[in-house]
Amino acid sequence: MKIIIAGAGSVGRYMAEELSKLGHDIFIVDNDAKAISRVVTNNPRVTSILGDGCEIDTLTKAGAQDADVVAAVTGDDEDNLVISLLAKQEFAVPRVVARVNYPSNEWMFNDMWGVDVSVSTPHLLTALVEEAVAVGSLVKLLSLEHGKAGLNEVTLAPDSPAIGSTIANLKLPRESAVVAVIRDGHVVVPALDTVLHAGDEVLVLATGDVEAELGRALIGPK
Amino acid sequence: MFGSKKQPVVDTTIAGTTPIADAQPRTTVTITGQVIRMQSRPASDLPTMVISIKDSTGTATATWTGRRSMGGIALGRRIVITGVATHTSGLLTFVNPEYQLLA
Repeated sequence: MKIIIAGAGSVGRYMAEELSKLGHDIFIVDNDAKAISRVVTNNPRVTSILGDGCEIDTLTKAGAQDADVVAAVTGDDEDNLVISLLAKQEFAVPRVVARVNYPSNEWMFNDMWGVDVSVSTPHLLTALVEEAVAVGSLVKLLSLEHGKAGLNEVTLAPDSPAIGSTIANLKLPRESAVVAVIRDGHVVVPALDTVLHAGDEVLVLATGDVEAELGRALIGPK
Repeated sequence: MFGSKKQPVVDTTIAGTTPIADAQPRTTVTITGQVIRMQSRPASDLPTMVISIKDSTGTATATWTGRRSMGGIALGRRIVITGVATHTSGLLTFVNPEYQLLA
């Protein structure tokens, strides 16, 4: 896949290295020659484009016309939004990923600005910390499809109504599916007859506003 | 395909425009057609205006983000759209294209 990464800071550099190792064609864009050279010296397979990613000319030079993915990962939210909008509007890039630096800006990172997927490090860290400490509460780990779908996690408390029940008998909302159960550090692939135990981490993928229903099924009445 | 008595929806002979069926995704194309559908999202949602344009070869959609109406665009109106097209679930789609109203 052809991937353009805008921003050669620590995030962009890491992404370029990892994705290039996986065999993707990486084009990295930054207007800082030093930052660019740091990426390319260690990764000769990465193509560098010196220029402002917020300009159509630079994105054209990087070949946005036939890119599969554009990732706007600069440290500036305004730049990331401009890059995303240009990628979508001027080049019709199928998948646009943008980094959110300040959580208060997250509401803007949606399809109005051409963003297909937004990643907010502070939000992700908060969710992971919450996930690590919370037992018996629903934690949203990840939003997909512009927030229409979400991956939720519950660590089953001993008083959860789900304990002893099979997955088939859980009263889960229609638009949801148990995608994995983590038990004693192992992944249990859920089957309809998998019986849930206290301490299980249950991962549920759901669309729509079903948090209340998920909570009733996995946590119990509050 | 079309009955002999049926008039084509609009003519696609305006110089420099491409029939919708021939528009190549991810290139800048100019199409012309008639507005057959208009839709704007409810106030609670992000302001977006979506229209469908039809010519004698097919239908395309154009989306403008950040607004609920576009000056001069109305049902039945003939317009020219220029922009980079994509295929979204089989339909030719433009995001924030340039538009020109025809008489």
